[in-house]
Amino acid sequence: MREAGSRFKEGFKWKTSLLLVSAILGFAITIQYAGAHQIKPVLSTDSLELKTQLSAELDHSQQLDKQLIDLQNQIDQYKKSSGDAQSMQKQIADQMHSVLTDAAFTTLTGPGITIQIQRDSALMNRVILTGGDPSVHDEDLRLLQAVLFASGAQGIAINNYRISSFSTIRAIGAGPNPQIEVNGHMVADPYVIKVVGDADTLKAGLINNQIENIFHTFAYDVIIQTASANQPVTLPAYNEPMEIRYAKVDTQGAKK
Amino acid sequence: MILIPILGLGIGIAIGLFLNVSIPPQYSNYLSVAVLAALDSVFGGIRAAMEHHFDSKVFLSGFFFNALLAAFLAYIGEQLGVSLYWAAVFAFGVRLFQNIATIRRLIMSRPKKA
Repeated sequence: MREAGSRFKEGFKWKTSLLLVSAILGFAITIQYAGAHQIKPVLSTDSLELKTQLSAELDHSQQLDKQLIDLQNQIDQYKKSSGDAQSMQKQIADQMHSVLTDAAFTTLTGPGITIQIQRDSALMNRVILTGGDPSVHDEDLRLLQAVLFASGAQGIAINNYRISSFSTIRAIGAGPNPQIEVNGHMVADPYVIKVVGDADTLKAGLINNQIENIFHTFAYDVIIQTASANQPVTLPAYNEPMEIRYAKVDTQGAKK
Repeated sequence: MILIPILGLGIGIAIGLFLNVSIPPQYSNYLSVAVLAALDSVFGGIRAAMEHHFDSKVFLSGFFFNALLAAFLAYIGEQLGVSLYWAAVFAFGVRLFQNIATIRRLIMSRPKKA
């Protein structure tokens, strides 16, 4: 009787373990099968990427075509006004002004927004408690500038220093609270960023890139004001030296 | 006897389909050798049961240890840039065929019921 019980127990044991291992095997095979069939979506992702690239190239090609047409029109206008020196001078002056405006060498007035980034003492405790870094760095302002230009900004000024292709935004000194320089001038909290462009698009760009949240993590508040039609945003011209200098090897020092 | 693994497989497949779990493609190598190890263990278990020397402890420990070792071998091989997981595939593959051959012989040599 006891022997029969022990035999039953043993039989139950091996059947259970075999069933368990087989179930695990079945489960693993199903996962592996599902994983192997995920290769197709990966391939379709590749084709999606190629389609996106192709679409970007087509857009670029269209832009170049448009540029070509514009240049062709310009040549036609020059040809037409070649007899009239005054008209030609006016056209060249208009173009010169347009180029200077694009390059930030003239004041720019228009619709836009003003962003004020200032210390928020209420957020400060939270940032310190969570071990965060409560300071704005140069890269944060550069990110903001990139987001604004990507959102269609026609011009930007940080603390009244106009941003151009010659501009620099950099940190001086190491440590948690570096001094920030814009165009070689020290700027400090509160950072007032004036932007000319479509206010709605600019604000959408700031929201999409979570700029407000980013500055909240440094215990800074971001206040955005839309310029009214009566009081448009005015940006000063960029009037800093345009000489680009590079570091040189100190050959004299080496000789000494 | 043969119904138990089939039933287990069915349960496992049903659970897998129901949970709809998928693993990232980079880990599929590890799972494939683990599946091979599991397959080897199941056939080894069937063979042992037919030869009346099945031991649950040996069977279960062998299953988990072999599966983990095979996956680890695949991982180490990937880190070293040598396809070490082929070693596991070869070892389990050979043993799998040996076990299947033995099971076949055992089934064929069974005395027929009158």
